Amino acid sequence: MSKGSRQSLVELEEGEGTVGDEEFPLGLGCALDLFREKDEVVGILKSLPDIYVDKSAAETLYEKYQRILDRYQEQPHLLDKHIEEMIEILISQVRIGSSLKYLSLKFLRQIFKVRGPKEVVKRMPHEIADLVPVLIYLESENLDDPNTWESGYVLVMWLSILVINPFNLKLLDGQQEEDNQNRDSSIAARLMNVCKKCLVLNNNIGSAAPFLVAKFLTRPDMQQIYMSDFIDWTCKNIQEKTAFGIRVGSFASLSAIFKHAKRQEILHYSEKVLKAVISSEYEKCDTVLRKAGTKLVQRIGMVFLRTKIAPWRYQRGSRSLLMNLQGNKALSQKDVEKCDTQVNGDDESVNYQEVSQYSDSIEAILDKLLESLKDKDTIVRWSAAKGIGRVTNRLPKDYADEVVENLLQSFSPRESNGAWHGGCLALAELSRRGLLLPERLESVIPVINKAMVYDEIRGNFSVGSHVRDAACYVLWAFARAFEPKVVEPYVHDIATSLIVVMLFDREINCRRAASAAFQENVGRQGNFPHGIDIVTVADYFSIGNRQNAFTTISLDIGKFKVYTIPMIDHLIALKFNHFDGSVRELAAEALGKLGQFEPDYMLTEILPKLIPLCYDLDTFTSNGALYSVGQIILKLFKINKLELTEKTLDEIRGIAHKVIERKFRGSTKGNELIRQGLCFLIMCMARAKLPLHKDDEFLTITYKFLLENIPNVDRKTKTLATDCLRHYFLEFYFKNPSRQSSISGILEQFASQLKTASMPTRQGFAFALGNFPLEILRENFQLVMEALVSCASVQTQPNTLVWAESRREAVLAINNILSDGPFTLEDDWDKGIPVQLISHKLLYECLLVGMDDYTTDKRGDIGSWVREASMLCIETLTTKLTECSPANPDQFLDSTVVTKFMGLIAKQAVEKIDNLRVRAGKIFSNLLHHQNPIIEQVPQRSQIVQIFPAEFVASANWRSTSQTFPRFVELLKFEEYTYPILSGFVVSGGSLSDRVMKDANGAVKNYIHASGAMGDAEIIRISEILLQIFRDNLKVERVTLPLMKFVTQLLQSNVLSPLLTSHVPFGVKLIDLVKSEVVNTTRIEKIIAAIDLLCELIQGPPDVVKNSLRRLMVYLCHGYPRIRSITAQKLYESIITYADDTLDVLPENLEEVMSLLSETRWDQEISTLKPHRNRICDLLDVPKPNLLKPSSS
Amino acid sequence: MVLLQILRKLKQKEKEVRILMLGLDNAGKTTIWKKFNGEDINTISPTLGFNIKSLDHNGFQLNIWDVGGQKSLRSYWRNYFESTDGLVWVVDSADKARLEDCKLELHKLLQEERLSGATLLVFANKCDLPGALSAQEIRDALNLDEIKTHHWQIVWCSARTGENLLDGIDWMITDIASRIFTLD
Repeated sequence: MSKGSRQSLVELEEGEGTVGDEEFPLGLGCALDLFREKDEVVGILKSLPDIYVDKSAAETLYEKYQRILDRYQEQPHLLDKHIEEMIEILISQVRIGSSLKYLSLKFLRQIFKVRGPKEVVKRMPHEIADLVPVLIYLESENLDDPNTWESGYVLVMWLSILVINPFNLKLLDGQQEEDNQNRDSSIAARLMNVCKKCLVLNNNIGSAAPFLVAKFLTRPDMQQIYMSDFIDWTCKNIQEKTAFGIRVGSFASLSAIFKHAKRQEILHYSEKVLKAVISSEYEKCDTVLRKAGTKLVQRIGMVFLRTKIAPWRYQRGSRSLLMNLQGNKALSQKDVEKCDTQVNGDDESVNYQEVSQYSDSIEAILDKLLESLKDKDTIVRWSAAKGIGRVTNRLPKDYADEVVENLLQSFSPRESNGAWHGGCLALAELSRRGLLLPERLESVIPVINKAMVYDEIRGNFSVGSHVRDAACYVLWAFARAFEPKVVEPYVHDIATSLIVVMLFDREINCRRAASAAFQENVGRQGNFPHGIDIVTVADYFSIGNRQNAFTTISLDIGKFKVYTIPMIDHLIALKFNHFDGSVRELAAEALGKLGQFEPDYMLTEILPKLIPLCYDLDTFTSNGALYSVGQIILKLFKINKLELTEKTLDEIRGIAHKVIERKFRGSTKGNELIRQGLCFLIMCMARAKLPLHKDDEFLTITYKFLLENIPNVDRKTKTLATDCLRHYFLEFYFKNPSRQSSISGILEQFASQLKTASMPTRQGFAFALGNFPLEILRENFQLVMEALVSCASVQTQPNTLVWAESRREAVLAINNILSDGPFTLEDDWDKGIPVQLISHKLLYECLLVGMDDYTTDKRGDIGSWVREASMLCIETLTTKLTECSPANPDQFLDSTVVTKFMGLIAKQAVEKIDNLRVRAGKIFSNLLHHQNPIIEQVPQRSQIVQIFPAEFVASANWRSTSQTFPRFVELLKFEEYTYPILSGFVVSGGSLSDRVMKDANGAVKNYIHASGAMGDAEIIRISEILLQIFRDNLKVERVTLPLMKFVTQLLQSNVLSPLLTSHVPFGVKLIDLVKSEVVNTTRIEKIIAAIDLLCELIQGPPDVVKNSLRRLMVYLCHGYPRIRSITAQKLYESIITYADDTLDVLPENLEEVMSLLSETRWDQEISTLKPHRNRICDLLDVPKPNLLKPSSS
Repeated sequence: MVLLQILRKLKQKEKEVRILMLGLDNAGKTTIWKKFNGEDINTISPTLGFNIKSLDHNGFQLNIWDVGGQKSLRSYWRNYFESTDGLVWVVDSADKARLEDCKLELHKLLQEERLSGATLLVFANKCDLPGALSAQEIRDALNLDEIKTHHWQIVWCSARTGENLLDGIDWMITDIASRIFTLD
């Protein structure tokens, strides 16, 4: 058992009100209304005696039972009415004994778990007769056994209720052993021993034991005998560095005793135990012990101090519903007086005598608790916070105030985040109990406001969300605790703090906590400015999404003047330079948007502050400032409020200079951030039309900078640079008379970059060109298109072959440019792209090659990117071409081209990559169903439309091969599609993905099967095409390997049997192709595929069988032992399956062949095997293979 | 350990019950709410916003939320970490013209996921006004018998005199408590 299981101690001991560390799932909390499965559960419990011997049945039943009860974990009280009945059934079975006992106890444990031990234990039977058997069980069993701990746990809990039976234990001794005088074997002594035995266990039994100990020792009779000894024993344990289990058990049982015992009975041990605890140095031990120690310290404190409720505490007005409704003036008046909102600072009425009596101890206790509040573990801090709340409740006012004073010191920058968190928890605890007096708010509120934005950077992450969450808890607690008039002076501070956290916190739980606290404040205080409007827009869900909170909800709230500037200030102080890049960008966006409400403030205060930060040495600051300045000027420009002074304009203009001057070394992450920031800023400057058109210096350096970043390998930088360039050119070149003339030169330069010997450069410039608006490209349209087409084509230099990425980028660029406007027959750019400028033949040629790009590298099928891009581009080009000349459809579209690409697209729709199939399926159906005008050149269009009717297309799931394959396979019957579709199915049919493979095979099989009804012509035609595909792709493993597997599968399923007759040359041709494919290969997988295929062909006509056996005989003595064994095994299998029909061999010969195949070890030396192999050849009447080269063995 | 979990624990410990008061405008929600709080009911104007008040009753702490007649009521019950335990739906018994509206709104409301399981108490308010419908008539008009997803009850009352308010609340608390707390 792990140490961790000790933690359940916490729950058991504190029962009410403790907040443990477990995560509650966010459920509805009250979705169930009663224990509906009660009858079922009772049935299960009653059936235990029948099934307990069958372990697996018992296990299944337990799991079912567990599932049912677990549903009530959130509302366990619904079980309450039925717990007694359930316990009764189970306990009666426990009393029966045997292994049924263990099972029943295990079932009982589940009830303890779901309902909580306190509620269940009350309902356990109290009969004294059970005491001795339970005791004996605990004495005799091995309680450390991980299989039966549930039994031990339940029995310890049960015993804890049995021992409080006010029954003289000595009478039990009498029953047991009449004349036993020995004290050690009395029932009481045995109980004490069992307690100690259980206490030290490191499992759940150990965590239940303190409860038992406390109940047992607080019996008046037992207390006299054992208490003193036990306390000595435990004190010794905790002081000495004994075993972990013993120490935890000792701490826990002392805590339990101090909780359950009467004050007077335990008071005289208090100082002694406190001394032991302090000298135990628990604070230096591990979490569980620190928690246990902290708990014990507060329990001791509560024993020192008499139970009383602080008379000086703060209370909010009269709140009894009954009294209010009865409207009894006299009564309610009196009542209001009694507990009105003021503080009854009247301490004298209460006797605080013990405080002075034990002042040293109490001081020590408070010291310890305050110290534990700073612990590094949450559970310890929680325990300490509650302790402080409880103890303070019993202190006089001055003393309590000192506690608060002390607490406030935890909020110093020197203290750890744990101290801040603990401090918040304690403050919330005190205010909930009314122990934080209104006059203290003045010093508490500023501290809490600091905690609300606590964030401690640790490298590339930060800690502090728990502090912020706890600070929200404090403000939530204030809302409940104080009258509006008390909070009034701080409303603005509190509201702003909550709003900035609810909108701009990085963590969702903090945003939600702040929103909940805000709502509570609005509802209870009623004086929060615009509270209702804010609560209405910023709810639990709307602020759940960070982007929504930052950029949408923030505007709804920012429009209220009181909050605008504090929100902006918060972003400037803490968020624009946040360590998380996405927060920085969102903060910048929010700043820009909020700035629209306060243009003057942004211009006079914020911009001057941010501009110098753009070239700050801290990368986050610099990146964030660049983004923010960009956003601010852009948004101000949009509302026509960008009134920059000469000086500010000059400063903004200087940013680029200063940043670039700093020189980017290498391509480290930090550098990328600065580059990205600057690209963004320059883009905003262009979009905001800053008057820099005549500034040659600025334009030169920024142009150089942007160009430098286009081939950047970082995708984000590249994208930002490209986006920027688009706006930059438009504003500073195209619309700038002094620079307009240089555009042609620049585009030429870009086009020439597409021919460089660097892939990222090609990729980058293709991407950039694709993003240019048409108006810039106009004059040089053909030049750009030609350069892109050549970049998109596979070129002769061998190293460019694998540059699938730059080819894809070029195709996408073409697609982007073509999508930018309609095509027009006229030579007028205002009406669209003049169609005569588009060399569509060349384009189609390039795209058709792209459709066949199967480049691979270590990442896999990278050619698929090019295929996908090409398909997209074909769709764009084709639809635009048809649309531009509806009257004369054949003007630009050549039906042979359409036939080719429709086939290739259909092929992609049945290949093995999911996303590509989806894309291809959609494009195929788009082209097929294209209206206005209909693309008539699509071969067999009207028939295919029937296969893919509009209703199917509208709801098709193109990813699902079971939906699409049966339809696409129908295309096989159209000659135009047979070859491409079959090539697609071949690849899918032999692929590794089980689902795709099965669906492809199934579809083709069904097709062939169905076609058989009309004679063999169709299957022979298909088989010819199949051979053609094989022939065209010889040595292209991507096709041939799956093809062989695919054909093997078809052969196995018998659909190809019409081909295996002597007048069809299919088999012989196939064997020839297989031979050419496999010759000289070392790929085992391929050889195995060939062997499988050859073995299947043994079902064919005699010449095929002969041929196939000849090949197999070669493999029987192949250089690889594994190939030899596999050949022998497969051959054996297929002879068994097919030989009777097809082999013309004497039965006794066949017998010998079979035994040779099965009994020879085919992984031996080839020289040993050869005679066997040759014997097989003779027996089967197959010529022995001649060795053409020396054997490789 | 975050705020959400703290609130859950507190709810059980302090026996907190969250009640939402809803209804069409001018039904008398705020009057009832003020009556509960022992406040003066002579100065009531249409509520713009909402108020939360905690009241002790029979050992429970009732957090009563009075939501004004805003358009966007949803944020109030959607926002919170906790679920709503009880729903008080206030009906103006004398306003026959809007009973149909009232029915639609109520049934729409009960579809809300965040309100699933909540106990529904319908206050047929202003029963003392001449021409007011009886509780039975309102029960039929609102199609209450169709509601199977929530425990519900209709009680006639007069917010002005305070008549029957306590009975209604008592029924509601008992029903809620049997669901969400252990009754000792």
